[in-house]
Amino acid sequence: MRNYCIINSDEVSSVNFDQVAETSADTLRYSIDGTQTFVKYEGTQPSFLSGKQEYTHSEILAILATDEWTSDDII
Amino acid sequence: MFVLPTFGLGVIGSPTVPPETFDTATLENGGNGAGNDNTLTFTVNPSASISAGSTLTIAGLTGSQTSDSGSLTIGGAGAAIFGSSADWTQSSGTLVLTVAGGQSVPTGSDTVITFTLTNPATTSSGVTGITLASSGFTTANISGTFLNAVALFNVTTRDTEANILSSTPTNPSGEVNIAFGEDTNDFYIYDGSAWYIYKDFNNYSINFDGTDDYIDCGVITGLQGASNGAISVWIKPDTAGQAPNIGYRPSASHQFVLTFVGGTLYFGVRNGSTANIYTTTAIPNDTNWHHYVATFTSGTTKIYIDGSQVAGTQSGSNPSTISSTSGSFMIGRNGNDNKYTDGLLDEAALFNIALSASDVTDIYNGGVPNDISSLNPLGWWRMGDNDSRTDTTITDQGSGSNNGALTNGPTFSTTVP
Repeated sequence: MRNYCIINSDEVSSVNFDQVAETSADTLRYSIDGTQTFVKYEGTQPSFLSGKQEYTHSEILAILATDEWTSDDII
Repeated sequence: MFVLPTFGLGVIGSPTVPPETFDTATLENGGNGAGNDNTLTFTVNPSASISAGSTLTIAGLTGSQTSDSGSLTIGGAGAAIFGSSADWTQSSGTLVLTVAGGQSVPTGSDTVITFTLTNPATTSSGVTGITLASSGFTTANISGTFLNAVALFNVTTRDTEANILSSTPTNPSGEVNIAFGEDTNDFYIYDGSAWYIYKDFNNYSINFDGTDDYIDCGVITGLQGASNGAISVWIKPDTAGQAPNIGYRPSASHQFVLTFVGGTLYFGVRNGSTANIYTTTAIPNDTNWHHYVATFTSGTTKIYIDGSQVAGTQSGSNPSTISSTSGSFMIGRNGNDNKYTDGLLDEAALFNIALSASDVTDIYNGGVPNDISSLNPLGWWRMGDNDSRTDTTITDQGSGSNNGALTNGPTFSTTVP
């Protein structure tokens, strides 16, 4: 099962991209204000995310649908 | 005679040679005495069961004095599988084994046969007996026509009076064998003399989680500045009523993209200040597979869903050409914006030609993806079909050579339209 963790943008340097599904720091999706991003992984939470809240797929989709993450620009 | 099955997605091909590997394959040389009869022992353990009608060719048996024979006697426990004889050719040093009707070479255990060849009458320089290939006998010494199957049915074809209709030396009971591919939906049929394959065209799609994953196809130069263009893609959304995000959108003012937002599908064709946004809300409200095509042809913009043009609203006017601003074409995401697709996508294609309604009908093909190479797609990303699926590359099977890169963890799926 896939889990998701939101992290602060200044924590990206601590991400081990061998332990998450994201390809690299360059491909991360950031919040509209650029202060947050997130990573996803299968199963156990990687140690570098220790203490971070885990979200399920449906929970992260709900978060990403908010104005904080999705721009108002339609097209 | 039998009637060939009709598969909506089938492509009738020629007899084929499915790949095969062997866990073990050995050949023991029985003796080296000049002029002696030499009993050789062949042992094979294939990686998957090999079905009736397949042939195994053992090569490298050069130097035998045994003349050509179409019925060299074979023995050992495996003779029940291959029959009591095999085809021997002295000049090439090959023995061809044929898996008998109703039999198969099992995987997970050794099948052993023996056969006898006569050593050379004279020997010299320490070379005696049957000479194998210089590197010794390996699995490379085996070739042939292999059929892997997980199920094998024998179908006897009879006339209305129950008389068997067909009879061949290799299939004396008049049976027609039918088999299915071990790890595909390919379908095989044996007509008594040869195997024929009916390949399942589409076996894989890509699953996107809708958070941040997509396929980055890079900059597609053939699209930039084109006066015609079209996007085609199949989607099975996780949530009813959703449509695909796919296209090129380096910025809001330069785009050729399908964007789905809040129940509306937007087809944006923007080239700087000249822009057309074509919208439709005619999105199927279910989670089934659906086919979307957006066309930009000579100043006219259309959206087709499942082969039919749908009603929409145009705002603005079409630019004369698609933008030339550099930017990646993305699948599962509306370009560089943050709209992603939650669901399965398959058979994505990009065209820089004018697609007609008839072309769209052909692509839709009654709801089953088909070979669209005759339409010369600029990009055609088949989501794992005819591809290795061993890395993060989705090979562009169109003309543009713009391979896609699986980005942020989309996964392969065997759920297909």
